[in-house]
Amino acid sequence: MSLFAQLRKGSTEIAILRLLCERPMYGYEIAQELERRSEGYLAAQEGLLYPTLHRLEKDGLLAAEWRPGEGGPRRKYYRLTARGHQALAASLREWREFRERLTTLLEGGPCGSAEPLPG
Amino acid sequence: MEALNRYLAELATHLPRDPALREAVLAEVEGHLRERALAWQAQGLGEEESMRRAIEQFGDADEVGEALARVHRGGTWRQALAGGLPHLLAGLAATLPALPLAWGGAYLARLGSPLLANWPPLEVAFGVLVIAVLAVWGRRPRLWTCSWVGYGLLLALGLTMTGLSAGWFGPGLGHQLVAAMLWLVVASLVYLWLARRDRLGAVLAALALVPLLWTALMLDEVQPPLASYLFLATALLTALATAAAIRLGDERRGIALLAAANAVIALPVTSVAIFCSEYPAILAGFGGRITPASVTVSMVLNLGASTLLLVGPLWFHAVVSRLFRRRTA
Repeated sequence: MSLFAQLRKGSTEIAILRLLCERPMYGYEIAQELERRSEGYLAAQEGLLYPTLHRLEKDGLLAAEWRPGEGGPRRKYYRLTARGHQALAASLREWREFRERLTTLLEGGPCGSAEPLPG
Repeated sequence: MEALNRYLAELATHLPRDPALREAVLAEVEGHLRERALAWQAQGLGEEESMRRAIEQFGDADEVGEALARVHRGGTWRQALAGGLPHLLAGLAATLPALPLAWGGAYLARLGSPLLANWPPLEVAFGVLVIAVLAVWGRRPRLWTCSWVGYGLLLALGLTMTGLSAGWFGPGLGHQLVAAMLWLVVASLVYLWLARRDRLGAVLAALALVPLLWTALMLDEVQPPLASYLFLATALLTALATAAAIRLGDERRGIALLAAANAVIALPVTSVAIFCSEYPAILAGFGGRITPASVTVSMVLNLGASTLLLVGPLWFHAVVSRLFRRRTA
């Protein structure tokens, strides 16, 4: 797995927490939102979303409840718990620091351009 | 929707046995696949092709199933601790008042038979704690609660034995037999229920009953300080094995680990029972003498019997479910 594939996989957790910070959603809805908002960048195997959701629920960052679907089968809605909100805030702080430090490191100096250096 | 059913069945082979958990996971996956297939149908695809694409997007059933199983299989450290705790408490409740003194044997004997006859405060407190845990968390059983269920059965057994010796169930042998059978029926039903949900859970419950009760009975004749230390060591080992099995969560490896812990307990306890006391049951057959043959037979029989009791609920469950299937087929 390439470095960026690993980063993408690792980012699913914070992306889910961020989405559920807005409102409770069910699995399919989360998959759709992840795909739409990242313009397909975070669209991976949809099934692998569920182990992450269940782990976050088990760790107490998410709480879930079954609600009747709109004319269809019932759906399991996930929402952020107080611990989930704390974890999201901590993750966002870490992410900002990570982004700033890595940007300074990667884009500063003579090799920081995306264009290949002449010569 | 044959493809959907096939996919769900394949995914289910990886999930833990707990029926409620399986139903919830499969309902969630089914809902997702049906909704995704409808979205493809809205774009003009046929019913079968839509479901095929939805399944393809969802991912390989083995990979997703295994990832889900990994989440639901292993317990947290806190759950592992909560599962091992009753073993530690039972060990302390049975031996703590006895350890510095010479009357530990009486406590050990009491654990086996009239558990509540003399109302020793630590044992009563432990009993109340077990009942409280079962009452609060029993409605939503998790793997770690199984060892508490085991102690619930042990307390019920202690109470039945106390009742038998005190004549609670009437004077005749018939009444006493009914009381003993009643406990056996209740215990069997509890084990069956546990084994149906999770086979590891059934063995975790049996671990409360088999090595500890068996150690207490075996060491009844052994001099108190040694018996108390061995009993405490047994409790510590069962607590550690329980915590490790809950943390591991894997059915096969967890059961193997518990059976190994049971064997580690059985062999030294048998040795002590043979060499430090008049262990009559087997030695009688050899003219009461300690010989290599009598020691070997004692070891093999004790190890075999305790392993049989430990994993017995699983065989019992397999036999009953086969009978039930045959009758309903």
